[in-house]
Amino acid sequence: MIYSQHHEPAVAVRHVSKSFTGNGSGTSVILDDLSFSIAQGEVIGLFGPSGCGKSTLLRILCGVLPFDAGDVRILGKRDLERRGLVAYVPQRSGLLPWKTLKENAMLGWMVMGRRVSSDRPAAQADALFERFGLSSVASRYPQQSSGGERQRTALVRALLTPAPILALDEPVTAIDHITRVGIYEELLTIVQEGAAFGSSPTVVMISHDPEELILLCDRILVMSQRPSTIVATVRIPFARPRDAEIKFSPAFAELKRALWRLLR
Amino acid sequence: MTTMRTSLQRNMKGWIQPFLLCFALLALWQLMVTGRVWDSTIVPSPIRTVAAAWEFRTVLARDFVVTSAEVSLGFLVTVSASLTAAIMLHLLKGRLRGFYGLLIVLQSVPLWAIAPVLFYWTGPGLTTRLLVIVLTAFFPVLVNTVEGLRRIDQELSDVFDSMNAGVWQKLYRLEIPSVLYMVLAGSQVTLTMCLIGAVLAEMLVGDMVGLGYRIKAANAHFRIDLVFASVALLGVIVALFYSGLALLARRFDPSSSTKES
Repeated sequence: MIYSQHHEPAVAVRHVSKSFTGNGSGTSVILDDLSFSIAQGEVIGLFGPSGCGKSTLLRILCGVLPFDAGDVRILGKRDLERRGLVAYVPQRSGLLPWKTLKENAMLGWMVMGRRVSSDRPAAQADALFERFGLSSVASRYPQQSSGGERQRTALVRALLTPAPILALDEPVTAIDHITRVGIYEELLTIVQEGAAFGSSPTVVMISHDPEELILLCDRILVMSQRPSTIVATVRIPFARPRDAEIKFSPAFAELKRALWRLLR
Repeated sequence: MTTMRTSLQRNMKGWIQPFLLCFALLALWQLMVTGRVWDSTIVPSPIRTVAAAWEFRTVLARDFVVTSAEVSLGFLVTVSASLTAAIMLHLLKGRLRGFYGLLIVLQSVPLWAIAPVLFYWTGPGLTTRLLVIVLTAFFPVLVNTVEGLRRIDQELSDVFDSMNAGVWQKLYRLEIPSVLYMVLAGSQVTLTMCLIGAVLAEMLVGDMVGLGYRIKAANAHFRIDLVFASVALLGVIVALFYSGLALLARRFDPSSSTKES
């Protein structure tokens, strides 16, 4: 992971709209004039009803989906120039079935890292696999692994990619709650460790689980039903480093209630 | 170790049933002929077929080698030619759509009609026979491969795009492996097509050698027992190639053999 020192916003989205041409049913507007910006090192949650276009927005941020109108800048870069700046963890993990989990985790580095850094990514991968409890399954193939193992591998792959921004879509595979909490707490630790060194990754993550978002994020952008806009921004006041114990505080419960209300 | 043994046992179980079925059918067939229900000149018994195979063993051995060689060469040429063509079509995106349409039209021209003409162009040798084989099998593999390249998993494609992977990186790390995966999965069909092509070539433009020619010649001499023996040998070729391909698939997709259930 390489952290940029510029004071440019990590993500600047201005008046972005996106619609899909459905088959027969005409065009449906997914995103309607969205604007927001994310500072470097911020952890942002995207929260909203199912099908509101969170994943579409994430794919636009990653530079893999064209949009109809507006402007997206990642660290000041536009269009194809911004590709490679956002590491993407898709819903179904997006692992190559013919590669082991370890080889999959190295993919981002293989594709783009060699141009950027000469670090020892194998050692880094080993360390991250250890932290995410993947060491014993590193030589397995995706089909032989659980949804949680695949998701963690995709996360390690993103962390090993020399991109300053992480975009995490919510896994659709059935991952049990305890596994999920484990993954996100590990992610929280990584974010906070980065902060301790004065440079932490910028993270944009999608989740349906308000607890997860409140625990991890600095701000939560709440999206409306389609055509989607941002209806509210909820700032999370907890100081870092955070402890998972804050879940049991009254302030946490209050934020959770606020989010549920906004969803309705 | 335990898993190995159980999978071996499962394999044995898988083999025993078809083997017993074959044996029962052959026995019934033999009985029908011995009991004179069927005329032995029109329907030679299994024993007579084996006897014919033994009688013509030198000729049949040569035919077997020739046909096997044609099928394996034809298979290799077909797969590499259609993969190359599919990747080129894919890289040129829509620019050659007309060409692709033409290929689909060409695919429907029956080879029976063209093969005798090829004989005049390239003579009765191996080249002509290979040409017939490749022309038989090329188009289906090409169409499958092109479709496969079009339907590469969107999420995987997104991941590569998000990494700003170039055309070649994407081709080499994602598209070719995905398609190889698929071509390998469809390779049994390709193999069957190659075998059909080889028999057709030997019958139409042959050098008076090969199992296809043998079937034609034996038929002309009313040696149905020899026809049956040749057909049985074609079956042996198919069985050999199938198991070879299964081994190859296991090597290429190491997870398939140890998949947890």
